[in-house]
Amino acid sequence: MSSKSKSIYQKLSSSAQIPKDLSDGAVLVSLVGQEEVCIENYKGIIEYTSARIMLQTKNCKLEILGKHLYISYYTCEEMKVTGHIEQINYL
Amino acid sequence: MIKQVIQYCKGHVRIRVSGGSYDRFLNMCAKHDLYIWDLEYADNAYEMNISIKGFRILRPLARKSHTKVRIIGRYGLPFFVFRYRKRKMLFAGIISGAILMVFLSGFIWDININGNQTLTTDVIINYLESENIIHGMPKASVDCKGLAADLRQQFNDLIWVSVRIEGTRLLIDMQENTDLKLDDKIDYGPSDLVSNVEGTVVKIITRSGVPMVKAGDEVKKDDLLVSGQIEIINDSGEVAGYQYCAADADIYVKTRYLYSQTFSMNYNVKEYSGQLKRGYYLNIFGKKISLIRKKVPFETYDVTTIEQQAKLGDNFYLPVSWGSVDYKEYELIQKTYSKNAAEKRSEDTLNKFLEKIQEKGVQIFENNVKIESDGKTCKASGEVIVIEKVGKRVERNTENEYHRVDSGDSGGT
Repeated sequence: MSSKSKSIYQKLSSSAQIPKDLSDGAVLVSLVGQEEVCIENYKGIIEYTSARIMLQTKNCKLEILGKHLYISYYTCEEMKVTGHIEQINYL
Repeated sequence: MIKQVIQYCKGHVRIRVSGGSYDRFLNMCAKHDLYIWDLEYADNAYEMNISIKGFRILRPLARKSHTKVRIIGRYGLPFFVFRYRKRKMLFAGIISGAILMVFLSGFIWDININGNQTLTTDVIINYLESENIIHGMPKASVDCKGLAADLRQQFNDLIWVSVRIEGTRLLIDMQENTDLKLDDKIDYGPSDLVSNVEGTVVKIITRSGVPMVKAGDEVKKDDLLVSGQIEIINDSGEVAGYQYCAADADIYVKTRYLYSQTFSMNYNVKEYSGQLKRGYYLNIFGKKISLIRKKVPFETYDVTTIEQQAKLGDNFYLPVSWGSVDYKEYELIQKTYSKNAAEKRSEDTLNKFLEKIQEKGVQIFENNVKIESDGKTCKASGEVIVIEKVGKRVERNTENEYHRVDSGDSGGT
């Protein structure tokens, strides 16, 4: 039932051309080169060290691996991470 | 830039969060809409910037997440004011400085003139001064439109003038008429041409009027060359009246000029000894103050002064100037020209003179100048025969003559 209703909801939202980040709460990750990543639509921070940042999003966890990771700013809607980014994993 | 200024005015603190569950702390900060920036991980602790307002509500969050929060830096204006709260004169100075700046920005401190080519900036500045537009005048009393109109009226060559005030500067942009003016023929009234030299007429080309001389005639000064009075002859060959015009002609006359130049064979030469004394001075409101007063130890010397005047901007000269005075010693040594050198000098002077008169359109016909030198003086004398364009315009008073002709006419009929 739930999977069916979900698919109807998904069909409806996709046919109405509602962006995924609004309808599904999908995380938005924008990368600028290897030095900057801007993340929106997340729930909170799980872990932060200079080599690893783990974020909780609605559907999954997002892991950013790198060196000298540094959070330029951080609000409940958006955060910007700078540093040397090596991997971005969805767990 | 503006963002940084606002941030500075509001002030912020850098805090260090350690122990407990920092992730919970960060998430709670986000929940409470606290803006956190420059978050950094260092030595098992987290350092971040937070606004003063945000810091005030941080305590319960820290307690809930069992973290320790310590301030490691205070930045911004509120802290600055607090730190120097006892220095009253500092704030008085800042405030009076700001008031002074606002006050002084109500005046014109720079007059900038652009686009003038043949009119010099000095001429325009002088005119502006006569119109009471000067440096240091209040901005409010400048009538830009009126000034632009005045400038256009004063200087005919200006085809476009724009006057505007930008900050404390008065900007005057102008465009001069660079098109070559057509040589307007001046409309002369009835007039004659008379000679202003003595000599022989070589050539005469008359455009209007009646020529009174022909080539080969001798003329004296003030002789009538071309008359502006044209006779009107009736059928019976009598003069019925006169018509008047402005005489116009090219008249070339061969004239002679006397040339004479004498100079002594002895002359003095300054021989600089290489000794130099330099003094400095300051000139304030027309009062000269010597900074280094030294007695000049030379008998004969040249004085060279280099002065510089203080100015604000391009054209605002202040009544303060400074400069240096150089005293250069020399010795006068008497020398004598050799015969050749003296004659050479004399000839050079003559040639320069001839060149100069040739530039004026005078043609050299003959040059009979002889150069002689004895032991004491060198003398060049003789005459130069030139062909030059002559003619001096003399207004003709036609009033009486008209009457005379008129009465003659009426008498005849």
